[in-house]
Amino acid sequence: MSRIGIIDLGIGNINSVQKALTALRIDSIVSADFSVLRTLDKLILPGVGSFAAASHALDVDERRPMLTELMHDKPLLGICVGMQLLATTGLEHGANPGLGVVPGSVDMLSTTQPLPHVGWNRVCVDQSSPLFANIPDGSYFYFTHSYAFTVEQQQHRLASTFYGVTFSSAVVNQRIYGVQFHPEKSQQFGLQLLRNFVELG
Amino acid sequence: MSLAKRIIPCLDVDRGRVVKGVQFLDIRDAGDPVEIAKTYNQQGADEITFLDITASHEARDTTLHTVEAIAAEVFIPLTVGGGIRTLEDIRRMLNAGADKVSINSAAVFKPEFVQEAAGKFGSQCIVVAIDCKQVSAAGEAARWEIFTHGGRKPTGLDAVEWAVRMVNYGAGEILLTSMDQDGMKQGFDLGVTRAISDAVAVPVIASGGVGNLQHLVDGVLLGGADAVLAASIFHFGEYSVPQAKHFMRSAGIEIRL
Repeated sequence: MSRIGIIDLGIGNINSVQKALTALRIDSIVSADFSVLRTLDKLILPGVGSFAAASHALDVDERRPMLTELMHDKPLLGICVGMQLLATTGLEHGANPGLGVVPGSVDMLSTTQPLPHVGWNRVCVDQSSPLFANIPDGSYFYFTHSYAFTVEQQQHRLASTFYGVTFSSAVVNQRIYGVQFHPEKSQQFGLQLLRNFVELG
Repeated sequence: MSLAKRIIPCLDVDRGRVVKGVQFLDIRDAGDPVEIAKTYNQQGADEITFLDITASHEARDTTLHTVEAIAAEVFIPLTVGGGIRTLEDIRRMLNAGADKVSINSAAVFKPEFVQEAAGKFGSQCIVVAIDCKQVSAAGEAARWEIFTHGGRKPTGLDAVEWAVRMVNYGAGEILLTSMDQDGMKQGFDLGVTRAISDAVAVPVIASGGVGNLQHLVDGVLLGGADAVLAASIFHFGEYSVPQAKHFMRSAGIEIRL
């Protein structure tokens, strides 16, 4: 069984991700210490709040270069703002750098629908991806966000969702994944997605 | 195609037990909140609302533990309300595993609290609960007023104007309860639900009065609600969440099955 590290950047509540893994009988370690995270097999990067705050949290204690280095050999799943951080740039509260591992930018959803986009919405998935194994196309996941990821290259879009406008609800670059929705709050398909990530080869 | 309409079972919790009253009085015991929440999670509820109706402050820690226990077993959004008066109350509930908090009387006594809360934690986790009664006489233009203290104290605040103000202050959702209808099983107050749904852009959760599944459909199709909240029809086994979902989908409503 993979050993899972949940990266604690101090940006929002990370407990619910660990509770979901515990319910799946998957051990995980919550840590902000890169010497600990380095010893684990896979990483989850959760995040709540603004892109700017998350980007600033990466500037503390050389986290940005250390996290970039870990992503060379460990699969990572970014959730919500953790997914957005994979981008090159974020435009929430001014332009701030992301990790640049999935080329693209994060900007406010240009939709006529009310923001934030909060609730259950359908995710059109790439079913050939192991992250979405056993998850039917069009399944509902729980979202809560106002900003969204725009990929530079379509090959990095793993799933899309329509909310007045179509946006990337999941992204991928090799073994680095990001989901805009909250799998830890998305009932059976959310738990399935977390299980799929843990079981990735 | 857009967001699915939500079915939200509501747990009114007094000193660690789920209870259900009629028009906020005449309380019946309905069981253990963690077990009930797990059941609704398994049944496919879209969200769970936990309202702490405990009067005493000493029991607040019980509430935190209950919220933690629910959050360890339930992987859908959890809204917690009752006694949320300070930013610290909100922080503690979110840390215990709540995804949103519902602010009720504290908003009436200090409307700026909603602004502070939304500024600090984001609108997506701030629900403002409105308890109202119709105060217009027969033949007059319909008017609803906010009441506090379990329906005993009128505030002079017009419910529709108040909802608009709360959204301007950053409320991400409105949880609208008709105290006239609560526990009566005669359906939502569709008049006030429609009036507020039309007046604000954020989701309105209709609450108070569900007695059958057609009432849920009416809340969405006639009242314009984005979510319907019910307690006793689910607690006492009259209907299950899947029955409610299938009924609503058959009525043409977008529902997550």
